Formats: sequence, structure tokens, C-alpha cells
Amino acid sequence: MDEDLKTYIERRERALARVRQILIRDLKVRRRPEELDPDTPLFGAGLGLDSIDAVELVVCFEAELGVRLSDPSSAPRALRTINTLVDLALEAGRVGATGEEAHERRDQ
Amino acid sequence: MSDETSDAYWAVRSTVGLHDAGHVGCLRVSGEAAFDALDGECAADLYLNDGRMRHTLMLSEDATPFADVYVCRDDEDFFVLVEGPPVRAVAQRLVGRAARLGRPIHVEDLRESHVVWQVDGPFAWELVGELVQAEVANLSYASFMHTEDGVCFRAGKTGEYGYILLVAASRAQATWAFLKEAGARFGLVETGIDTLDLCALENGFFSMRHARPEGATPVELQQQWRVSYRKEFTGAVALARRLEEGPARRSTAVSSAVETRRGDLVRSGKRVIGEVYAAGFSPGRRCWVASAQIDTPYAHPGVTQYVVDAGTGAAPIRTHSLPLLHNRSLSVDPRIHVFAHRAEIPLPPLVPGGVR
Repeated sequence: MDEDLKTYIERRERALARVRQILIRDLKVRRRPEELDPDTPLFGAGLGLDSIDAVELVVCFEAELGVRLSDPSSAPRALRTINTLVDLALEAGRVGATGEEAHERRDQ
Repeated sequence: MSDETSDAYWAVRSTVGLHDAGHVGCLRVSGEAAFDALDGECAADLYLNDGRMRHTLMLSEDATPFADVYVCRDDEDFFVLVEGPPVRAVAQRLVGRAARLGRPIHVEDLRESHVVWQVDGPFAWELVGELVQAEVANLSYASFMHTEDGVCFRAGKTGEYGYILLVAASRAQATWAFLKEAGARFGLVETGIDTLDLCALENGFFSMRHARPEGATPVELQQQWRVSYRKEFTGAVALARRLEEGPARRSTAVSSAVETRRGDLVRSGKRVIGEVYAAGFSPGRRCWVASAQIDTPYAHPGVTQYVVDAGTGAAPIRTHSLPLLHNRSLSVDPRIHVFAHRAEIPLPPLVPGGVR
């Protein structure tokens, strides 16, 4: 694994751990971290979060990661799965774009 | 992809798709042992209120998926929507479990007296509402209601508004005709199962009717949200062991500009790190999309350095967070929107920077 990829994956794994922690500690999701697959849907049949949880999630993300989810057009996309939250967390790392887009940019 | 299939895809993604769901079985389970038999054979917690349903799996003893099921509580009885094995195989497991419990159970195959159809799309709620003469928009995901001709389940795997209709066979012809006629006003297109499978793939669901990665359990398939580790059920011991060991590989969504097929190997440099197990051309993304089992250390979205060994040689791929597109149903609010004025609904691009 080359260094650039290794660095990206390490950042992603750290962000994934923080998102799982928020879900378990703050949203009271009754799962162990390793049970929360990265592509798990947050709402509906997935983790079963509801609109009140969504508000809590937005508040926690702002407090914990400095991420503001005030743009209503981007919120639905960001709140789909654990991985989309990780994308958002990476964005808060001042990478200037979503995690996916930032990494792609580095490759170009 | 044929024009017909493409039209069906865009109907599911933009208007309404109607599918004669011959692949979905439906059982009605009743009797003293109904709950305990289902609870012992299904992997998720089944404490459901009346009218609610749970999307879960039945597993084999080795924890590999045996059936994809919705368990739906109807007072003291249950509907079970089944995808994968023949319904009689599911019924046999339930009857066998009840026998071991020493309590009676009655399992009825409703496909002998009913048909099952699926209606999916951002405006599916509007068409189904006309059919059942009720505000189905108020029917929350994973719930159901009885109708004059059967049952309307709010469920689906496309990421759009989805309904599974159980209709009495005696009413099937008239009801189908109604849906087709009324559906013409909502851009309805009849869809094949391949279209629904592609839409499910884009939204992170695997198909029980297609070959899956050998030995893959919900842990490798990223389907742990459909299982519980706090109850006993067939396959629970093997599943817990697999989680404890940690998955060697994990399902990961990928896209490619070149045709990608099941069996294509995924490489990082010279190292083989995975294999594609489901793929199709996505008109929405205008590229090939696939699910691959990728070695866990490499199984992350946002990577553009991997390639697949496709038929024409090595081709670059990109890994993604799911879902692979912005489902338009998220932007359609039945309280304020209608199909007739859909042009006024602000829709984000299906993919960032992509088509609207």
C-alpha cells in the first residue's frame, strides 16, 4: 500500500471510529463499534434513527467535530449512512471537499 | 442496456415503476408458536407493534444468508415476505422450529390465493394512494395497512418510495388494469427484475437470487444492521464467531468506466485485494457500478488507485460510500408535491456534478 493511500485510509479509519463513538455514546445506538458496518443506513430500517435523532446528530457533529450541517441541500446526502457521515467528518478536517472528492483531487 | 430497460430504470428513479413480483413469496404465520418460531429463525429482534415490519435475514447454520425476509406483525399473526429460497423451504424451517418447541403453528402460502406486485419510484405513493383510496404517504417505512383487496406494505430496496402489494387473485386482473391506466398519468413503466436488482445494487442491497461471495455472512456483506447479537437464532453462533474474528473482506461499492463483471479481480498495484460479485451498467451514473468483496484494510470509499482486471485489461475503478446516487424520493414531499407539478420540485443532481 503506497503512503498516500495509507495516509488516507488511516484518516478515514479515525473518522469512522469517531462517528461510531458518537452514534453509540450520544445517540444511544445499542451496538458495539464493530457491529456498525460503514455502509449502514442511519434511518429507516438501518439503525432506525428518527427525526429527533437527526437533530441530535447535527448538534453532536457540530460540537464534536466542528461540522455544520446547516445547508439543507447537502444534509440529506450526508445523513444517509455511517460512511457518508465519515465523508462529512473528513470534510471538517479542512480538506476542502468531501473525503471522496479530496482524495480524488490528490490523485490528479 | 436496451432502451426498454433504460426506460424502466428511469421510471424507478424519476416517476413510477410497476413490477409483477413473482420472485417474492408471502406466508401468513399464525398459532401459538408463531412468534417464537419466527424469532428463532430470523436474525433480527422481532419485537414489533401491530402493523410494523422488520427487514431481516434467515441464516444457515454457517451464518450465510438463507432468505431475505420482511417479518410483518398483524395482531397476533405475521406476514412473512420472502426472497431467495422457495417459500416451502422457509415454511419447513418454521414448522420444524415449532415442532421442537412442542407448540402448534400454521403456515399458509398466500401466493396460492394472492399475487404480489411492487411499485417503486419518487411518485409511487401518489399512484398507490389512488389504488387504495388512502393517504399512503402517511404510511411510514416498514409498516403496512390492510386494503380492500389485500395488503399494502411500505418496503423496498431501491431507495425510492416503495410498496409491495399483496392482492387477492380474484381482484388481480382488475387491479392491474387500474394501476396501468392510472399509472399512465404518473409516467408508469413496467419494470423487470433486472432493473430492480440494479437499483438495489446502487443502494447497497445484495440479491438473494444471485450467487454471493462464497462463505460471506452479514459481517462481510455489511448487513449487520439486519441481525442481532442479543438473541439466539439459527446461525447466531457462527455469526458471532465471524464478528469476533473480524471480516477478512468487506463489501465495497465501486464504479468503472469500462464493463465490469462478476468474477473480475480487484488489484492495488500488483496485489489482488478483492473480487467483484455483482455488477451492472448504471444509467444514473453513466458508468458501470458493482459490489466487490475487498480485503478489509483496503475496503474504504473514496479510493481511486485500484483497478479491476476486466476483459479488456486493467481498468481503473473508484470506491464509493453508499448509496451511489441521491435518491430523488428524498426531495419529494407528498405533503406539498404532486407528480403533475414535478418540474417545480428542486432536485439535486443524481450524482455530484451529474445529471438532474
